Amino acid sequence: MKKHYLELVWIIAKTDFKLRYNNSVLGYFWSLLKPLLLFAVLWLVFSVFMDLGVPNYQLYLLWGIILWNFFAEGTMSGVHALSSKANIIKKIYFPRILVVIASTLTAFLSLFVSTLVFYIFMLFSGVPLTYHAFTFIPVVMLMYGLILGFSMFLSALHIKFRDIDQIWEVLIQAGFWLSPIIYPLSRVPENWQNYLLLNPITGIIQYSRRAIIEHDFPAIKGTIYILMCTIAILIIGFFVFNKLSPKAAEEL
Amino acid sequence: MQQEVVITAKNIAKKFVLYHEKRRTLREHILYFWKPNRKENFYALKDVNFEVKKGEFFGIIGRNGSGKSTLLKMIAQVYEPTRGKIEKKGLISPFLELGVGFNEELTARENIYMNGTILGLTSAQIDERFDQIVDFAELLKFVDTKLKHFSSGMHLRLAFSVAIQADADILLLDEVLAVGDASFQQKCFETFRQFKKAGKTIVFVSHDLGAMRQFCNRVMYLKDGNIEAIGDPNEVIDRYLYSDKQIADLVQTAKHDGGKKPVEIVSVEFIDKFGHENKTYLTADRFIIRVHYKKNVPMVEKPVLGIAIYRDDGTHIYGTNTDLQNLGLELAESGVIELCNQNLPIIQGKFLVTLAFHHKDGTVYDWQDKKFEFYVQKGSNHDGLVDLDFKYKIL
Repeated sequence: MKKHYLELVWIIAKTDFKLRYNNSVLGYFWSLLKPLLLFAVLWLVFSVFMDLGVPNYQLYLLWGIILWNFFAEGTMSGVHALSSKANIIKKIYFPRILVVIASTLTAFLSLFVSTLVFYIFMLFSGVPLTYHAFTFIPVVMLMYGLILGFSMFLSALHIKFRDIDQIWEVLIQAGFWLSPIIYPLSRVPENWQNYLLLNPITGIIQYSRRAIIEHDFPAIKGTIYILMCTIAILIIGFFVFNKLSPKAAEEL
Repeated sequence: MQQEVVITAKNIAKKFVLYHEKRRTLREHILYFWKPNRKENFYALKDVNFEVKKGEFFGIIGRNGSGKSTLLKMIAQVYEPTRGKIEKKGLISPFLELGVGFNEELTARENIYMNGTILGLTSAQIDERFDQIVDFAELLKFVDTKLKHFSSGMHLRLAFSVAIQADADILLLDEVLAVGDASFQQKCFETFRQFKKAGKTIVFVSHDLGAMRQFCNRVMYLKDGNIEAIGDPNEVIDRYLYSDKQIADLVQTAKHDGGKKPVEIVSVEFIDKFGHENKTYLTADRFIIRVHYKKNVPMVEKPVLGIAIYRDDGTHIYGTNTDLQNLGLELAESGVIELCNQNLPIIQGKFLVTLAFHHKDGTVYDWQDKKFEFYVQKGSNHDGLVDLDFKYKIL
């Protein structure tokens, strides 16, 4: 039975992907161009027009955009996990969490492809690629924990409140500017830095950039905070999801 | 024979809350926070208890809105019961409807994998059964065609072919037989017979009372969220058809009257235009019903022979009797009475016939309720149930 559930997740994710990009590789690469284009514009503005003076800024910026994009893409499709699968949910029982996992999976694909682009970029930038690059793995795990937690929470609420997705889109926009993606955290006034660090994604982006680009391992305290946040969000998400999702078939 | 119980429903109730005005967004919830939202509670099921045994074909009937589908969805775990508990033993194939997860933009092949996985098959199992599925659906040439180019018949064949591959001990069906042409329905019935042989348990909801009588071991009749009757299919279905209690009682007394019937219907023949006994007719064919009767007492008082024709869903479409036609009936010791229609004005369908001898005052002598059936195939280019034969005239 367990194995069958894995296959169900896989086929739902695969089908979603196929339908979204209409089965064409080109269609998919278009969607990859979005973060890269954003990167190009922001790089032009903040490195040429008004120089922020950050060494290896292009890597800084790109890695920040990639991680944020992973979060944004994952949660944005996660919000619709239950509502977009109404036709299946109304007719058949399976653990509802499977559709949440399935709909967040597609975000991994763009993450892997764009990470590859990033590492290639890094080779050309003359920054040595060290074993620190492996911090990529725990970073992605933490990010996925956050995505899953938020997606459970949001998709369950989306059944009742159909405008949650629009609200979330605005919050994602705000989050993009309030996380140190374009600017380094050090440029933020010191009394504000601690507020920004309350957001676990700020920490994840900050630490992983420092590890990969500056070869410096993150502070234990900060890492523990991020881990706790992720676990808390997962638990809250799971709790809300378990409470609301059994009603999904009736509400949808 | 003591059989294992596979589904136990205890005190099942299901409440739906109907809001007069459904608020679907956070904005509405905030804007109208102070405004009370009137709501009504509606109990689709009130207190339902039953058991289904292993290997049983268990039918559920009832009018629209009687809670049949809600009950099935609760067995399938799609809905949660408000009260009560449903216990199940064995793997349930949850196909309430055919073709769950079908997507128009995907090919037949992709849809088979999608639908099959949803029904609980692993991809290895689907690989293995793929040819069989395509074969059964008769869609070999179209495996890589997108579903949107399929006709509704092809859709259905594909869905059904996947559905019957599901490995389950208990199958839940909701109105699956409602669609499809005659030959496909035959195929479905054949599959059901195989399931029955294989000892699978089937719970099914349908308006096809003919199929219910044919396949079910037991039938449950739901009325307004409660069980009105449960047990022998024929009795329960009759009860359902004669919701009018008086007639139901009449039929019951006629059926269970131990004494000899004063006059009885020995046999009934349906004769076609070639003079042969036949069960299938075309629209506008000649249709003759011959009733062979026998008297058991020397004197039968004021006898009347009545006929009623029903469509298989219980709709009463016609009735007459000798009294209504001012025919003073005089019965011999035994004999034949013929009813003839030169142009059968029915377009198509399956029909059940009731024939009865009774006293002019209504006392039943012999009541053969929906015992006889015939089919009509479309022999007219008009549509619907009855060929009313309207003619156009351009003025």
